[in-house]
Amino acid sequence: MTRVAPSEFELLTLARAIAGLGQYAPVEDLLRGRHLVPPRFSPGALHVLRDTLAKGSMLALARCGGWRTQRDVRDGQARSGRLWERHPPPALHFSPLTLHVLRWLLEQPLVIHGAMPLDVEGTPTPADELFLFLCCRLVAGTPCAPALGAQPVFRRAALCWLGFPEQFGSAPPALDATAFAPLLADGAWLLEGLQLELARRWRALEESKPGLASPADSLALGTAQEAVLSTFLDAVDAAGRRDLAGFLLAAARPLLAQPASRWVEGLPASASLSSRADAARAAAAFLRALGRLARWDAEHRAVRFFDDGYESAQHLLSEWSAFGEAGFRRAEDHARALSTALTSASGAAPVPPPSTGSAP
Amino acid sequence: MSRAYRVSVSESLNRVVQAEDGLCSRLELLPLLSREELAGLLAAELATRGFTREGDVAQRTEADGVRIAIDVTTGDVSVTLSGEQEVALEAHGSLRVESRQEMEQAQLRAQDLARAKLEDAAGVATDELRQQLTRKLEGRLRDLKGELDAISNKVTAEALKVRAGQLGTVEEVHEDAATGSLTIKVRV
Repeated sequence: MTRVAPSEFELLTLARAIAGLGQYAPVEDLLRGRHLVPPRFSPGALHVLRDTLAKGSMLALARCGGWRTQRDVRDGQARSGRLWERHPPPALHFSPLTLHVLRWLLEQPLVIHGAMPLDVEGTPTPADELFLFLCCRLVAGTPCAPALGAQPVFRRAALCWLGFPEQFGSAPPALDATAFAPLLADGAWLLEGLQLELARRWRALEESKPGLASPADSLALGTAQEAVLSTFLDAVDAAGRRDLAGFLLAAARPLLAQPASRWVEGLPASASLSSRADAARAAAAFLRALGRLARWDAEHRAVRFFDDGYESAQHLLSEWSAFGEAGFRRAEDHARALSTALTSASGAAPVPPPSTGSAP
Repeated sequence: MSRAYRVSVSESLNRVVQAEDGLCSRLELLPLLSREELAGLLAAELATRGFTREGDVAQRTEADGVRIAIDVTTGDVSVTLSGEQEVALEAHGSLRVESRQEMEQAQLRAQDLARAKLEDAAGVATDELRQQLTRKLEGRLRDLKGELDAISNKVTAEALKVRAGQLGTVEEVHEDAATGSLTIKVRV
């Protein structure tokens, strides 16, 4: 049995909650309070931390969607199976950044305004990005979330923006397509593993919009979503990995049956029409992004059997067929209704007629 | 034993508060013709509906003050309603001090307090006026949308006729006012 000091135990408990997809409540006191962390850890504690991160992150990836049997076509080669069957085992390297973040999470009371900033230099490795993503996941929707979103190390993490754009306040991301390059390297195993989790996150984000009562909040969320999706879609397109945008369709599919007005029904009638119109336009950011996937879908249909990329195009057509042209059309109708200020701001957005063809 | 003094100051303010609300939208016009040709058709249609043109912008101010401005080259629509209201506001500021020597300072502070309250009240009055304008404008939007849709349809139909004329000889034009459908037979 490995013995650790009480302060080390707290850090290990937090690491376990983050990497093990734990709940916020059991570690709430650790995050809200100020805790002393020793400058150096005992070898036993470091061993347990390494073990927790290594096993926990793999378990998290499996639970976040890696368990699903998927088929993908990369470099003209079709692969089928679970995440670990489609990819060789990745060499996970957690840099000192991960330990700095863990230490900061314990030392700073995250709910008190003016917590000491997390000052860490260096570029996060994909393993660090996964850890930062899981940190955001743990605190999502809690009073601790804004404190994480304010830290430069989280604001620089492309994966955190992709999963939790709502946590970063009103300032849009300073990301470009190259920010996603490390995540797209080595077969993009990390993004593939998180597809299910990303779909859940984006669906939850869209479902939260009717609850937004402030036009400014709606505008901030929409602006962040638009910026991160635009950058992400540029990156996956340039890398020839359009399949990685598939989580957006999985997120959108159950949402399109509701009327467009649902996206903005929380906006108060006392707010000015101009602010409501801006908020409604912003609320359609996710739906507008689907327009790009619709164009890709049309391009895939035009790829002939003797063209390069035929296999890949056919694979994506098959993957996206459940959403279908009808789904894309409906998403476009909703986006147009929300962006047409004369209807959206007055809450009189028309319900588009039911789509024909395959139901989304 | 010291006595407490109460300093009370009353301030009043007469101000004209102004507020505005509005929306921007765009006419959905199909690019059937060149931008200039389409702008000409749109301007002609707007003229028949009482819009006056200043440069690229055609505008109309309605009896209730709603101003509609349409850029004929881009189809950008702006609908605004502004208003002003004269308000007479009064506010009091009061403070307690322990000695007579502090009274002069306290009077100044109470005056500042009263003025701050007046500014807050003016803000509230502006917001109430803005909400009135918003409700009024909201009531007009449905009609306005109908009119803008009708303008779009009319201009698109005219553009189709012109385009058909450019493609060949128009032999027959059939318009159904009830459904809005337009059939043009062209000999190319």
